[in-house]
Amino acid sequence: MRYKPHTKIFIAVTLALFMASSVRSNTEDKISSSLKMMIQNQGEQTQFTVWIFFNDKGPELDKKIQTVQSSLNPRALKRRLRHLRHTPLVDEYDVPVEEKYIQSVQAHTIRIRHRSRWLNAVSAEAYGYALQRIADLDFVKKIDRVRFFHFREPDLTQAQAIEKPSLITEPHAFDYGPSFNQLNQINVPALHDLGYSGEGVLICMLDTGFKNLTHQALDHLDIQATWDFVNDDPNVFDDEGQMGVGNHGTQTLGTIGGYHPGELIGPAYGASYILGKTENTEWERHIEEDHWVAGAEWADDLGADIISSSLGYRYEFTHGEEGYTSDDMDGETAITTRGANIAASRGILIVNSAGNEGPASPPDNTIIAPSDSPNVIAAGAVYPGGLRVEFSSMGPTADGRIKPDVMAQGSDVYTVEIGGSNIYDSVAGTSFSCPLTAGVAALILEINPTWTNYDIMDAIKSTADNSSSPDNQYGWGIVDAYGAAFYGVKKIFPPKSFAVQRIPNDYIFFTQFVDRLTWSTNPGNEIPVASYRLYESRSDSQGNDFVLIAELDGQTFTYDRRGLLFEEAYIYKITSVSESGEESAPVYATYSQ
Amino acid sequence: MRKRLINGIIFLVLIGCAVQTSQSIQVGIGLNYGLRQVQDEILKETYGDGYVYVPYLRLIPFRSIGFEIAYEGGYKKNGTVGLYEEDSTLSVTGLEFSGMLFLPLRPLVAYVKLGLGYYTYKQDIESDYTRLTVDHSKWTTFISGGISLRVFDGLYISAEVKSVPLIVRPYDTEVNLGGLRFLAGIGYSFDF
Repeated sequence: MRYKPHTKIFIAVTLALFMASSVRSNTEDKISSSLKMMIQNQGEQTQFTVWIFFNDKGPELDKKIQTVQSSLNPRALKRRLRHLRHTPLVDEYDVPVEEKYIQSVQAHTIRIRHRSRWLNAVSAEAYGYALQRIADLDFVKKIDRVRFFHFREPDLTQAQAIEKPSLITEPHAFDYGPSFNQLNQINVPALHDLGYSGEGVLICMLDTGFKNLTHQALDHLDIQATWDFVNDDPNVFDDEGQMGVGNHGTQTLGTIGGYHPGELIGPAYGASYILGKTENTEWERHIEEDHWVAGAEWADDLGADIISSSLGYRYEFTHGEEGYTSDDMDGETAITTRGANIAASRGILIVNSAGNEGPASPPDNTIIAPSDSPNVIAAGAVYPGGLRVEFSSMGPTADGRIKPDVMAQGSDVYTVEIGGSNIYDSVAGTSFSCPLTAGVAALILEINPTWTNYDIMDAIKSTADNSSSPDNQYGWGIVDAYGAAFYGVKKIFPPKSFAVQRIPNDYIFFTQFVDRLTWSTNPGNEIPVASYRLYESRSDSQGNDFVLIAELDGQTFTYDRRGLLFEEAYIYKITSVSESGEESAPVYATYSQ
Repeated sequence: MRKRLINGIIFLVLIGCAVQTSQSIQVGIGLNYGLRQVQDEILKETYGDGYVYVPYLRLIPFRSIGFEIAYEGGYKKNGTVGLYEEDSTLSVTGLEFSGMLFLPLRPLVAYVKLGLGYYTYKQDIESDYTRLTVDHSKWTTFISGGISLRVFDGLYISAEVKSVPLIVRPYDTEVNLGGLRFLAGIGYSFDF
């Protein structure tokens, strides 16, 4: 076919215009429609807080995965070994956001707020006019707004007069004082009586901030790290100049970890904690979902086993933009839900408050993100007598799953008050059902250190009091800590504790090293332990080639792995073995310098 | 260190040549025996001091100058090492080459030695669990001084103090194997 010259020019110009317009429309498509609308309404000179998502993690991904694998926190490694077992312990989600992408984007922003390796994104503040320039960058996949939410306090006017609980007078190891019912309702004292307190479990509290940690019921706490994701500093105190004077975080911490016999005992008073302030602490709470994701990634970095998050993201704070709708509560849409799903895939058990948004008529729901996730335990609120509190949010999720998952006391919960070191208060909200449930999870993990987050979820739900007919008001019902801790388990358990200490063995002309392994018997064993089996795996193999190194009688609780060079590192695992040869699940330990 | 030693030996030879009066070479053979101290505190605690024997052959070509070749043996001690107090043995032997300068103080003869020694140290660790051996050698200098007394014809007795600074590092740990020797002995010399 032959064309005249002017026809050729016409075709060329048309093609060029078409290509230019398609490139332009592609980059415009990178900006979400709701963000575009905001820019249109508020003008390009306005400052927006946005998510900038990237296409990939940059070049040499395999090498980056190797680097992450070799620097994994030992606690995180143990958790992943427990959870992931034979699948890769590190994947693309663990690789940090490509630094070059961040630098390129940073030039167009006012500031970068957070970098999320899980979402492969940064949250940033930028003017409207700069967003198009960012969208023009090849490696940018999408730009969306960071949603700002209003955190609702429970509407206590809906609540009925408090029912009087039927107090069980059976003697227990502790005097729980006014906090007895909130624990007895979920059968925690029975586990405390056996000596369990959450010891060895690391719980990350994501909340509005924490103060008065010298309170008589809090001063025993083993707080291993703190970070304020709002102000980007380690000060998590709720205080003037720190965005508010609230008490929410302190009170949820008191609910789970408080210990002052005669007044307040939390279910996991013996656990270790890391405290992340992810939200503004003003009464009119102004909460932002990017802080939550950053907090969850921080929890993963430090090897947290459980996240207790008495926060939720559903109804927007300002600007009149719509928040997440019932349809968005599908377990995969909201940013925090996506973050929670990835956290769960790393083995972290997440307990979140179901929400104080009241009843809903199916198919609508009032659940708050990330509680809509199938990988999160959504804790709803009941009265001390066991009836659902009216403000407690209801399911189902948009994809038809039952929510909440379980219930715990969320009315008249006794906890610390920030006004003094010996002052207590009664509070309400699913915010307090959440730490009670998370505390139960910590006890279960202490008793069953080999269980994955899904094993624990399954046990909690399967033994709750409505598990035979779960519904969208009560979920699977009120938690039974004792029942869950011993749910469907073998009669023999791995040692309760298992630790490694590296000791030099000086032979004068040279030094070898000894890994001294120590463990203790598990009081939950229903049959005697005939022997303990010890296995080792070189740490660089990430636990994929364990070999048996010793089988020791049931009365031996220490073993020296001798003849090591300084640079040699091993992951050890130990199992208990019964007379009949039944072998428990393993627990792991590794030496860290 | 070795260069200084060679310089020292040359110096002794020159001094000897300067005072030479004899044309024949005097030959001496003898055996010293005595205490070997251990300087390093940990070694001392583990293995302790011991006894050594030192047979030697001495050539005295000049009146005041001589050369000696000697073997130091006998230090072999048992001790327990490490976290588990495992049985171990340490032995140190040496082959020594030295130059000597004699100073007549009738009826005694005083002498000093500067020498170079090749010392071999061996540590064996043996237990139900492990069998480990360290077997290394090192050159080092030594110095000694003594007196001898001719008692009958060519027969003489002697007393000597020897210092051997022997610092070794077979792997990553430095150990001081050095120490003083307090020796006494008997010898016989004749013209050759």
